[in-house]
Amino acid sequence: MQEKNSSNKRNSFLFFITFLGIVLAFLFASLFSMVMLYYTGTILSKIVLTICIILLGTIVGILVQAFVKKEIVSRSYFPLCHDLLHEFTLCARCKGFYLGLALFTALVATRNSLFLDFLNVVGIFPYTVILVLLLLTVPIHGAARRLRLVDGTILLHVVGFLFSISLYQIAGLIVRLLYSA
Amino acid sequence: MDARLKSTIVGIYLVLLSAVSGGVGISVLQVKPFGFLDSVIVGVAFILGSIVCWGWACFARKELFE
Repeated sequence: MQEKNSSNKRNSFLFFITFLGIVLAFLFASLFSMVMLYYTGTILSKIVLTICIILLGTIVGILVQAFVKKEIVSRSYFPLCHDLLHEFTLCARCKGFYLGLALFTALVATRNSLFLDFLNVVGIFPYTVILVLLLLTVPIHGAARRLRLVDGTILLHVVGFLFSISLYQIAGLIVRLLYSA
Repeated sequence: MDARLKSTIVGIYLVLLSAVSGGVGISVLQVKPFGFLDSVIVGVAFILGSIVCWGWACFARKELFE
């Protein structure tokens, strides 16, 4: 009985946090939209505004879906998953992804125009092809894994790592777009 | 459209959104078009959004869409 009460308390606390998160997300979106509207003269601010609305809409949509499906449970460290911390220790693909983020952030911090130089060297078409291939690594690997064509942890690390490069390539493409406009 | 297909589509959408928002965040941090502090806040918010989408892509299970 005591355990049930404790669980209910945690559930209401999580509901409160989730609700607050949704409200804050909406407030943040409104504020952000207003700020960005001020800057809509440039291409980047338009891109930022559009992606911001899509991003916030997706996050709020998933939170609502998770709440409707009762995925937000008392053991959760974050909405939607039952135990994010546990999943983090298991997910090899995430380790590769975060390692890639850290590595390329360090590289870009030392040389700001790294991916822009790469774009200038290889040209826009091969650069875009590489970007699309990198973006598709995760869905293709996921499909192959579901069909039991591939297996193994090292491949997960590699896929996560390769995918992290695509973020920097998109950034390079946007910077190139800005400078060419 | 069955639950499995829906979960696959949502997973792919989240992964692609993760890449795009991360890319926008990094470009904002590199170019700093809104001044230093605003650009850092916007850039970090987008990178965090990218990480959230990346994390949630794994949890787009078919049970969620049944």
